Amino acid sequence: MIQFFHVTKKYAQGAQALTDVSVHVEKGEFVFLTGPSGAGKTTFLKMVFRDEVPSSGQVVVNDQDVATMPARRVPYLRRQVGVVFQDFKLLPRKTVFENVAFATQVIGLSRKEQRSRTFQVLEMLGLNHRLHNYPEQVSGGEQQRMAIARALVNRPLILLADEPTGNLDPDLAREIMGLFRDINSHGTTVIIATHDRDLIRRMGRRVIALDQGRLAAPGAA
Amino acid sequence: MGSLLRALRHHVREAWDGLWRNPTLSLLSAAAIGISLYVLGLFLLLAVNLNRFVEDLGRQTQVQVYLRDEVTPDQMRTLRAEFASDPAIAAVRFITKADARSRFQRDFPTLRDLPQRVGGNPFPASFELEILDAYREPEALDRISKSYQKAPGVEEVRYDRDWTERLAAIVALVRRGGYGLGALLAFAALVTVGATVRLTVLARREEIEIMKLVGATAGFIRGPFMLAAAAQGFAGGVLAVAGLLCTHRLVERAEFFRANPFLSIVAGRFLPAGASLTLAAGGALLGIVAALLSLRRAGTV
Repeated sequence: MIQFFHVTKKYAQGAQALTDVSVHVEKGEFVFLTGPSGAGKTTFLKMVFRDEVPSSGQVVVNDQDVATMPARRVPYLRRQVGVVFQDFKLLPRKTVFENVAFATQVIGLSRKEQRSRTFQVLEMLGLNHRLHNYPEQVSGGEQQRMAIARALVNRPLILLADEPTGNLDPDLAREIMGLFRDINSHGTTVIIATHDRDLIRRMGRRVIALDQGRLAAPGAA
Repeated sequence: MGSLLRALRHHVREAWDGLWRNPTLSLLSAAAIGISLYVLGLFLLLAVNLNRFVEDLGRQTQVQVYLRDEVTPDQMRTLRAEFASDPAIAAVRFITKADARSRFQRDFPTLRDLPQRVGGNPFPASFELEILDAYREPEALDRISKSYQKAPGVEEVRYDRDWTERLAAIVALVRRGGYGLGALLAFAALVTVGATVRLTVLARREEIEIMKLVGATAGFIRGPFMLAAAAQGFAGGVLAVAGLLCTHRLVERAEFFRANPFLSIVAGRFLPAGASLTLAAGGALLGIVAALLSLRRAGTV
């Protein structure tokens, strides 16, 4: 589903975010991406939905080479990849419902379909009592779930989450992880970037460890 | 089909919201386009009417063949025969010396007794040749005049070519000046509308960023901006046409303007419907181009 071949990413300022990374993630896998801050986790994720392109090497997502993909194909790649951003990226002037429905509107679903999918996913995430609140009126955990809801509402093949439990208390974190597991059990490929080792140990899933932009030895995490 | 309509509805709604988010700015854009098109239209109006004037003048173009006083009946007969066989000539009128004199006395009543004072009748007899439409261009007229210049009994051949040509040149100049000034103002409008679009884009940067990340196509993001700019441009174009109509009416009604022979030409006729429509559509096009350039430059999509 996701293949990195000798991927190196240098930024214009000369910083090197990734160095010679080769990784395969199979369809339907649940993978943790770990490493200390600045190890290149976010860059890794960004390459999957082509927010970044490799300086050298190749990234293939769902059989598409993301670097050579024409710009007009990029939106369609992104519709296959749901992303939970570390800073959530919620729109402050839109309600909980609108923030999530927004993603369905963008891909051109019918009004009816937009509403039913949005209600469905908000219910699944326990936000159906918050529909008409604005982001600043809900808790951090609820904002997190809004972000997850938006990532899931278009039923992506791949779900990426960047530090999704960073702002949550342990109970909530466990709950969210349970949710990711459920989503994964329905066939969605899930990659979660986190430096929460307890969480990784508890889940017992495959781990891709990065250290200063390089792949660390398996199990080193 | 359904999704196309949905996208259209989305564009219209978002464009409408965008226009009302900052009405002053929207109005400014429309005004910038309106002013540039108004000025362009004013020159077009001038050119259209001057052109009509020149055409009218051309329609009256006659060739005058003045005869010597000692012309013989034989020479006259030969001339008449030649005129009759010339395909360029529609009609021939003979003006006798007496006719010429009375015409002069009619046109210049204050100088009625001038002929007597200079001793008799100084006016030559002449043939007035009415030229067919097809031959009313400078080269044909020139050929006609030359062909009779040397004929026996002919003193001089004249026609009002210089006049016509000079006026035509003026019309061309007015039109070119109008295009130039219009282009300059259109460029200024382009910059204004472009700036407006960029400001709107900046205000909604966050939203656009997220739209891109969740898979919105470039068209989906750009659509509302383009539509809003097109609407501003069209409004500007309509305003320009309305302004031109008002100006035209004003010139037509006001004594002051009608008294001025130059301005009275402008008052003659309004722009043809096609030109008015083109101005309005041109406004919309200007808006779209400005939005497109601005969106490109802003690197939004």
